Amino acid sequence: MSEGGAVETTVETIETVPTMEKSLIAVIAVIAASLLIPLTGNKYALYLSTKIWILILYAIAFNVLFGYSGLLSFGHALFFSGSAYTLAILVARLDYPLVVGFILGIAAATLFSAVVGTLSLRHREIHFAMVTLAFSMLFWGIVMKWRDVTGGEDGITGFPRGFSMFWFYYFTVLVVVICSYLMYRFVKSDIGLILEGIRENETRVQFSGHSTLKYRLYAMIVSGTFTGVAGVLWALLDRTVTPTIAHWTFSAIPVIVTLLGGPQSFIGPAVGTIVYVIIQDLITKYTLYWQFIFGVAIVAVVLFFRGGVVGIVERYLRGR
Amino acid sequence: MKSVKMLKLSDVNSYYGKSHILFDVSLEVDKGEVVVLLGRNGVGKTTTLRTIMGLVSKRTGKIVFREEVDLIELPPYRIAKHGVGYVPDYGGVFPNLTVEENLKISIKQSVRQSDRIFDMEEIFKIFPQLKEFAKRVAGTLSGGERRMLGIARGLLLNPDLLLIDEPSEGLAPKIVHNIAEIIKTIQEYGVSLLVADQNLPFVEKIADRVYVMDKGEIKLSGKMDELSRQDLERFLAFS
Repeated sequence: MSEGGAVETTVETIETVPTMEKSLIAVIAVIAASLLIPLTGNKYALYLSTKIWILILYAIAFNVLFGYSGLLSFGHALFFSGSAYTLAILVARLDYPLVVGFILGIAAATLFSAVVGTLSLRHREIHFAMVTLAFSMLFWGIVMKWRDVTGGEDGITGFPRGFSMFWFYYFTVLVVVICSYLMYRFVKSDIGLILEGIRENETRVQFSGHSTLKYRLYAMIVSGTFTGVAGVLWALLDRTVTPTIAHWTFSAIPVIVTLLGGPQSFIGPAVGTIVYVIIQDLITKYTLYWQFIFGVAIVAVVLFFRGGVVGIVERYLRGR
Repeated sequence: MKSVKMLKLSDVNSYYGKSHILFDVSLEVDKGEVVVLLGRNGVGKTTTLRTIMGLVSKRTGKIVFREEVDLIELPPYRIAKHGVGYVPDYGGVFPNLTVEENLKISIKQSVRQSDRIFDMEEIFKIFPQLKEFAKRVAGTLSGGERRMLGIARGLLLNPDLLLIDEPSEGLAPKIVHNIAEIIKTIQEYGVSLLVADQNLPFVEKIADRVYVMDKGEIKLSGKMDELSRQDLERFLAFS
């Protein structure tokens, strides 16, 4: 207390500004360096890094809901594959132009997230996770069985990418950077603040005058829509869609990479994605059981490093 | 001159699951009054405030606000929008958000923009310490500062009625004194207050009228200066 001095607070204020600046510089440096990858002419590196960029978008979009709003969705594959399949069906089966497929694919993800959100957001925590899981597996079931439209297990092929791999990489980087920036603005907005409040204590947000259900739905739609952007990019990268991306294991990817990278930080999921894809690529060269080794690593991170990789780096920087 | 009844509870009952907590509670708060709910721990003071705020799911009776609207069926955010602010015990702040963010979370939705009194500037006049700590995470504040922040957040709603739960609990006497001063200041702005507390010297400083609660019922009520201290202490002493 300034006038009383009766209560001393000993907790020191955490300096957040310098670390923010540092991480912004780091992010720009990584983006700049990654722009050189296509120039190396290494096709595998080009493919892998395009994939990483798309998964980064997927993970950041997922974390808008998880890290910022405290809602664990286990059904994001629905929005990802929903947009990818919409694009594939429109372009390969109905001969619509690629641009139309791209835009309507994203719109489909928006629609799916609005519908699933409306039906699931009354539930919380594990119940919410289970309801979203159920919806996504329902969609997976449709994709597997409705062969005439979705191609069943074979999926859909035979649509163009619209770019060479070289230019598609730059297109992907541009889209992911723009989408990430938009999501960053969203989580730092007044709505984002209310979402953080909901994550901390929903009741307190309610008696501060906000219908929390409405804000949770906003978060769901933003998260689902940008997941849809990742979905259409993914479809274009392989020029194929298969039911793998509708399966629940595909919903688990953003969960895992976010926990690995750190859900409390905006770039945490991106860092987690890079680590995840590279480690997966390395371990599979030596053993088929990479998931086992990865599982152990995830458990270790969750138990001992709650802030993920980003948390470890931050602690290291602050410690010096 | 007839003053507006800010709040009128008639035969309010409330329940947590199967257990019956409040029994036919009736009370009134006039415009501009500070009314205190007095009683030991566990007699239903907090439940009464939570019931008014819509935070107890099973509740019956009538809770008429400003002689206009019955709050009994409304969800908490609607009640807040009608002009009821709520400060839970220990302030109920968001510990991982900064002081400024804690305040911003309730700033945008006051009902009557025209007669809006409390904005950030006004709040920092009443609570200068909060301005100093604006960028600090609320979890690092002391107990008294958290209480202040909770009250400030409640005021930013520009409520006609502010409910404050146990504002003096666990605080050093000097800080309890500060809180009493702040409550008097809020009253001067024309806000009505319903405060739950059990610290008699503190209550004597702030209260216009008192309702004494025991076992979920109102046992005694009257003007602060007309009630005998022995009567009040009888209900506060541990039996």
